[in-house]
Amino acid sequence: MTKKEKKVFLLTAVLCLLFAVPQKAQAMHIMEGYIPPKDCILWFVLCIPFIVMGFISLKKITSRNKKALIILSMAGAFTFVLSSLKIPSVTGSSSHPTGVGFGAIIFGPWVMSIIGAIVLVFQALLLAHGGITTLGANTFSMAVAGPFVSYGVYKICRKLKAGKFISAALAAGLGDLFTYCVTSFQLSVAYPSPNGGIIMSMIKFLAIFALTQIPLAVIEGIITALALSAVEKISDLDFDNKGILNREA
Amino acid sequence: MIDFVNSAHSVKSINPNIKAGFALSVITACVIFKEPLGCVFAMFVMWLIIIKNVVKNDGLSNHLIRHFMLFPILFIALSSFMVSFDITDCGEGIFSVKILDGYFLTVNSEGVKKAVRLFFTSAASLSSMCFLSLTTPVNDIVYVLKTIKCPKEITELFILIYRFIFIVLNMAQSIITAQNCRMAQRTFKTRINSMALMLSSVFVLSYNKSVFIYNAMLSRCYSGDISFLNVKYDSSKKYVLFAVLIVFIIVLISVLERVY
Repeated sequence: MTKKEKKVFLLTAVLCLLFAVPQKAQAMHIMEGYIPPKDCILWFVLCIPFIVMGFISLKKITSRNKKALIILSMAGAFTFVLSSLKIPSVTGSSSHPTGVGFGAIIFGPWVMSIIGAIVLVFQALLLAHGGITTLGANTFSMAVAGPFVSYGVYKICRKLKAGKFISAALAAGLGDLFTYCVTSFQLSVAYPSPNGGIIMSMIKFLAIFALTQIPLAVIEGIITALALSAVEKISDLDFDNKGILNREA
Repeated sequence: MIDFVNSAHSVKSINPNIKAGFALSVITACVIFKEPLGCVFAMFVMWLIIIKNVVKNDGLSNHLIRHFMLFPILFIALSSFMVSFDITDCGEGIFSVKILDGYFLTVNSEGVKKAVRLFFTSAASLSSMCFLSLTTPVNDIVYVLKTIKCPKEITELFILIYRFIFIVLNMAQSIITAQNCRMAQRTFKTRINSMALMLSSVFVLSYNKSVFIYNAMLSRCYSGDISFLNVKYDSSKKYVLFAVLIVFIIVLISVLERVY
């Protein structure tokens, strides 16, 4: 390759990669048929304990109070709508929140795993985002890893006497980032680099995701914190102890 | 919109178990074999069924085709292209460009082959998914969930979430329209602020709405069980035979492609 050809190729590659940088809701989801069968099974199996625990938690809540099922259904619809809304992005493009932090702080991570899985089925069926074979992988990243990190970060921050705003912002932001890290890991396991293996492949996917996802995670963190404090102001709900479900129980 | 399209075609009356089984079998065959010709055949069959039975010459169908096929296919093409790239410490391959000291961004023939296979597999799987979405209303999916003995709590949660999505979406859209009328999208700061306010309002309104709905259900003797009407579906053997035949042809084409 001549020097000029190299420059043209590099420019084209960068443009293509930027164009391929997922800036829409599909970005969080691994598309239908995108990962090999063994990976589909692996991520489905890894989700099972969380889904079972989520189901036990759901059964416990709904047996205590029938109203909780209606509230959780509304929470599921809210999560679906939240993940299909455009949020302001510094890159100028429209991007979508994951909504996992918001849900996990309010309802807890176990229930969110079930709600998240159902929401992902709807996203696959109604929006063509994600898929059925990749449901396990998507559930693991968006309905298990993200909510657990968000919930854990929120609890740790609150124990360290951090304010609710800072705790919620950190929880939502880090939960969002962790979701993308897990998605990158899933993609790198499915498509390891022939030379550098999983690690090199993960660096490639992380680098591509990082371009838009770091600013997005910051924005989602701020929006979640603002929204939670506004909810507290206009209602008498307290999120420190899964307020809504405990209050209704 | 999908519900509207779903309620106006002949495939609607076919047993949802047959449709779901067919779509999932085609997806499984495509994902397992990953052979481009088999995937192209699967795509052809799925879109033939959709175009012949579902798509009508109106704006709604065209919008659905764009939403379900063109945009996701474009995304799949770009994502598949991304897989063909590799970071190596030796600059060998079809293209190779130095990006860091000692590291190269390369594209080799293996990567391109992998990307092409991935594109066709993903596109065929997506077509099967579209077939399921455009021919099976969500109420029929509940029938499938009941057939596979999905726990009652999850089935109820599934149908309730579906019902509430439209209520919540309507609230969010009304608030966004009201905010836009008041120039809420003027600067980046106002955009962030209005988004947060909209989310909090939608959340509180949805919570209140769920309490009202619960009270309304209680007044109609809700005791924790939600009963659904059983619809009679057409379960003719010809549909099962058609599904088995198509899956068999996909597998046959894929096996032959792999052998030769």
